[in-house]
Amino acid sequence: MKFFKIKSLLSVSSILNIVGIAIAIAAFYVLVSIADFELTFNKSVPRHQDIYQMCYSFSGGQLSNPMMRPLSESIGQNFPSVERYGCVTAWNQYNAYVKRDGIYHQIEMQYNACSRSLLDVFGFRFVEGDTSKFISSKQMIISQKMSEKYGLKVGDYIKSDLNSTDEIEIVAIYETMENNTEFAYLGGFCCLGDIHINNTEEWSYVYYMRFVDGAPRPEVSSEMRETIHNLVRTFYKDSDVVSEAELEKEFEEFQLIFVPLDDLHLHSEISGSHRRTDKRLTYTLVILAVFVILIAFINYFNFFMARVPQRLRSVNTRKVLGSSRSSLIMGIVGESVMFTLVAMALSAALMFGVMPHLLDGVVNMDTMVFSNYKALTITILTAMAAAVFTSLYPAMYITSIPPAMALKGQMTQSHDSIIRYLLIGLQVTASVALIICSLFIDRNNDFIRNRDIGFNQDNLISSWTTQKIAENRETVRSRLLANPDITDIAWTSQDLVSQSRMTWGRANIDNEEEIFYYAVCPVSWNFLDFMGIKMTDGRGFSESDEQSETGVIIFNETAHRQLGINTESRVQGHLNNQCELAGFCSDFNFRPLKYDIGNFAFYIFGKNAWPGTTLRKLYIRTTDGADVQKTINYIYATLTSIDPDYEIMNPEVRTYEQEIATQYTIEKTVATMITLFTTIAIIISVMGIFGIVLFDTERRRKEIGIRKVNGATVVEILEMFNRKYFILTAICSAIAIPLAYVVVSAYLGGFAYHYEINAWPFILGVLITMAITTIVVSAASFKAANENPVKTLTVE
Amino acid sequence: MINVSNLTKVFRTDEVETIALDNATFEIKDGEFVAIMGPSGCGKSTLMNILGLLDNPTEGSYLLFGTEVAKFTEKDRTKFRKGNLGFVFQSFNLIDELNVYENVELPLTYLKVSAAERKKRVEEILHRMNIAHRAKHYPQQLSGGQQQRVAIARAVVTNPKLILADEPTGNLDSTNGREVMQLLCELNQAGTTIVMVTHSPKDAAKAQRIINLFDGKIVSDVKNQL
Repeated sequence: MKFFKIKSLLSVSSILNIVGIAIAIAAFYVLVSIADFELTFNKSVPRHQDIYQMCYSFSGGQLSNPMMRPLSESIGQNFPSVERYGCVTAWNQYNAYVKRDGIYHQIEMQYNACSRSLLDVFGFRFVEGDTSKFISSKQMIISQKMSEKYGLKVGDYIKSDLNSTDEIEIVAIYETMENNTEFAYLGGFCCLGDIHINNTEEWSYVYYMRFVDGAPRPEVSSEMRETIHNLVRTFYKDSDVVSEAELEKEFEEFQLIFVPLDDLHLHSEISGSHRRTDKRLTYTLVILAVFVILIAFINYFNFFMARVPQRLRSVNTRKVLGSSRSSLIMGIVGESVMFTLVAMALSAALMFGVMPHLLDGVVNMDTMVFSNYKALTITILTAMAAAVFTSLYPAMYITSIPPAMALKGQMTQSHDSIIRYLLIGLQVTASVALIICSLFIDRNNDFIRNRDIGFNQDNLISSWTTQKIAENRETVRSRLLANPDITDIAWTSQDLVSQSRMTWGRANIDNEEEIFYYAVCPVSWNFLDFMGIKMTDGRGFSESDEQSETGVIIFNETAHRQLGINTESRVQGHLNNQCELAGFCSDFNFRPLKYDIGNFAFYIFGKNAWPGTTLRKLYIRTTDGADVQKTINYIYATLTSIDPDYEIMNPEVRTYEQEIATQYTIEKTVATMITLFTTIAIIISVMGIFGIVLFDTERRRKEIGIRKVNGATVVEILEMFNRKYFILTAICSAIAIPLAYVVVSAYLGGFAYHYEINAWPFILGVLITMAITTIVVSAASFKAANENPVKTLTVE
Repeated sequence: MINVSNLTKVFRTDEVETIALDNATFEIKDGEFVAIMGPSGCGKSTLMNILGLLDNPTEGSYLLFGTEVAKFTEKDRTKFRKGNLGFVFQSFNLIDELNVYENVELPLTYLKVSAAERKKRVEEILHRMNIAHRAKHYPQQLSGGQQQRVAIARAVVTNPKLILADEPTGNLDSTNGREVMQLLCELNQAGTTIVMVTHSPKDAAKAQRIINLFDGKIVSDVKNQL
């Protein structure tokens, strides 16, 4: 009777362990795949280790990468250590229309424009066409994937602007790159040809260089810096706009930095539109992967050790009957390997059935996870190694005990118990720390969502528009305001809050040696009022500023303070002569909260705007309680009626919450991943503790019976089991809190504005762990605690 | 003290119904020493479990200290057992992880007796059972007789009115068995009521009264000629 009960209980514990290990293997594979995707990013590019992107910063500030094109010629002539070099535009094109049956249809393709030489840097392999024709902006190359997706062939034509008569011919099709390469997300490249080839003012090109000797020598950096300096100096030689002194001053602060292609995607601080991730996130995922698999196999080890007393007799009986120690060890280890193989089969089901749903919107499973054979091999080998190691010690231990002792049952469990509780302690410590970290990350994300960032974020909807719509602002205004749910509209040329911003370096006309650096946001005259940004000095924009000859500027308070300027100061505008400084406005977070508020200016170009600087970003304010979806539909229909191309462009009309969320995708990913895998880790830990307590209560059924006969109530029995785990959790919490503090401090330190560290998440983390532990231990021991002692005491 | 009438216990499974106790009726007075005898499977242990409030009868009445306890819930039974009943088992049922002192102290802990009082009472009973020198030893380090003495010490440390002993000498050699019976007799002489299940006529002979069971029925209830 008892034999069968133990056997059935072991089955419950075994199932819990198999499920735990299956979840861990699935989680491990996903995490390793993602980490592998990030850590091997660009590694499939031929000679990737010799390729660098040229970046720069001023005064050690944020890294930037757009350069001027004339640099190309100088590199070719003066730097023999640069084997190949090429550039791409810093901003992608999203509009592509392909002609089908005489009508242009939009296709979903992001593409870029590059110099022909870039193809050599990255070793593009072509499957069709002739790259010798890739010489001017009227030709393009596309990926094989894009060709297959839309049935595009060499000789087909694409338009980037329906209003333009220019067509771009597809001249070649290149082999689709690995998913984790710099340009994999692009469907193709137009040829830059000679665009801006002699223009030192247009800093819109990102350079990649392949060096003969691998890493660029230090002198290359300084010589190239000097080349850029000379190019700019030559350009401004006869200029009365910028003095030589100003240029020298500017270049004193200019630092050239070559970022290896291998690391490029990990530098989320580099502005630009290429795919970026976060180094800390990648390493966090690796740590989580190791931790998840570790806790599952800790459970397995504990479970194995808990079964030692039961197995002692059978193992030693075999020993007495002539089995060798090595064959016994092999048998136990083999059982463990089989156990893990079953878990692997289950994990495959989890991988395809559950994980894609859990990570929906966070991770692209198709490109990052599935078909990653390297990660699969690592996962299988890790699981097998863990299966062998976790069973090896119990196997050695069981077979090391002299049969005479084992068969008489003269073994105590104290040694095993200590190891078991130490390992459970490790799990609990990590669980407390993970819960605390998750709570802080969640609180910080909430802080980001709800912080007053200095302007009115309520009831905002935004959309990018077409050139035609942007040029008909009055029509747009009157048509949109006809909807009673819309109260006002305003225009700009950028997202109001964005990591990537246009930055100007403009001379202080009153002091030639001084250059002012600040982010600039071109806006319509009513933009500040619309956003509820208050003026602190001077005047706000007026409608007449839109007719200004020189441009009108309003700085923020930080610029007021840091640049030491006032309403009397004379500063340069977009035409490199004095613009009107209207006043100063209150500070607001124009970059995500990771970044401190820096120098910033709103700008109205006036009559003489730069070409292509139309204010195409439209912000719309709705009334309180307006039906958002209905209003969005109205906006979409209205703008389409003004310009049918708007529908073809198919831009996203979105709420401000959706817009700002795009600025915090890494934070969202971190939060989702940490929360998900913390939950997985806790579930596995809980299953382990549940299994161990279940086993423990079975082993101690008789003791429970004795205690009950001697007066213990059910509650006192539950208390007895909980006491041990309560003390364990308390000790583990004492270790976990400082650990979590260090991690949380490092994470929050990455934000200029963040949730303040306080005691509550720590207290809550400990309480949650204690509550989970208490529930699990009570649930696992409840049946045994309620059992009639007669059943346990009378069975001998 | 104990008044049992028409006590019946039926064990039912899907296939079989077993009458373990069939309309047992008897009375045990304060201070009595009663032995229950009978062949294996006759219902002795079932009767003991019911008398010790470890189980409920299927039918019948059980008055313990004047209280009807036959329909008590598990919680009520636990509460009623505390301090009133002491148990001695054939297999001693000591807790291996606790030493002698802690094993004896256990029922006092559940009675919420103060630490100082517990110490006094445990030391006193260990001396009385002549086992004080083994207070720090663990059960595995004791002989069977010593273990049973510890079990008796634990059973009497709360000064229960009734001790239920289920074959207390069943696992002991004759010398140790004799010593244990001597202890039980001493306790009885000191006023404790004892109900003992035994197979041993020799041990039963120490009791004042012998109830014989067969197939769940009381077949005889006779006073012993001491």
